[in-house]
Amino acid sequence: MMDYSDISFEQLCDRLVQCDVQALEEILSRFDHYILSQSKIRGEIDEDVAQQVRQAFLIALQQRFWPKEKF
Amino acid sequence: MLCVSLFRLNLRFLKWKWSGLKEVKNLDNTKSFIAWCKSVIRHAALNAIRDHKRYRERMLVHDVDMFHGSIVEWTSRDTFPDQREWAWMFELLSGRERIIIKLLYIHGYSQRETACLLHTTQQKISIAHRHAIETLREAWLG
Repeated sequence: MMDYSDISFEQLCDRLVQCDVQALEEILSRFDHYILSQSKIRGEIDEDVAQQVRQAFLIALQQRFWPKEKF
Repeated sequence: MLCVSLFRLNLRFLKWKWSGLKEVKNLDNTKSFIAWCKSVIRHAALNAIRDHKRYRERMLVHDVDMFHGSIVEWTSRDTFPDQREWAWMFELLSGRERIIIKLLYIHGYSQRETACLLHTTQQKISIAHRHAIETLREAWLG
């Protein structure tokens, strides 16, 4: 398994175009802090909302980079 | 000789300029990709929070309907007031007023706590509560 933590966003995008699932996971993990910060209800993080946001983000990424796949 | 060196210099300059442009373009792409990701997350979070709020309100209305059913059962054992009147009176209240009545009288929350639960102000709860009581009283007294 290759370590993706030091790879730039540009390289991650290139790998994502080549259907690299690990790059997708890395992008999700890099944006996880932002997802949690946006999933707050009355100042507290709601894990259900965060999970829903993760799923929506994942689908958006898949549709952007792998448009031919059906989800 | 001078001409050739000038040409080489020019080529080098063009090469440097082109690589710089390429870098700027890549940087722009990366920036726009990050911005796109952030906007997707922001919109998804707004949608999820809205759905969550709707779901909670729907569950509260469902609870109130269950509560209404238990009241009807309770009243059917007593002579006052009768089942039809309770049902009719509760139908006069809006869904939000039913929720407020339930939270205040069954769960025993204060108006401020009810306001926190429904994401509104205590004044609005007070107004809705008073309106609900007035509606029930008018309905009961005819």
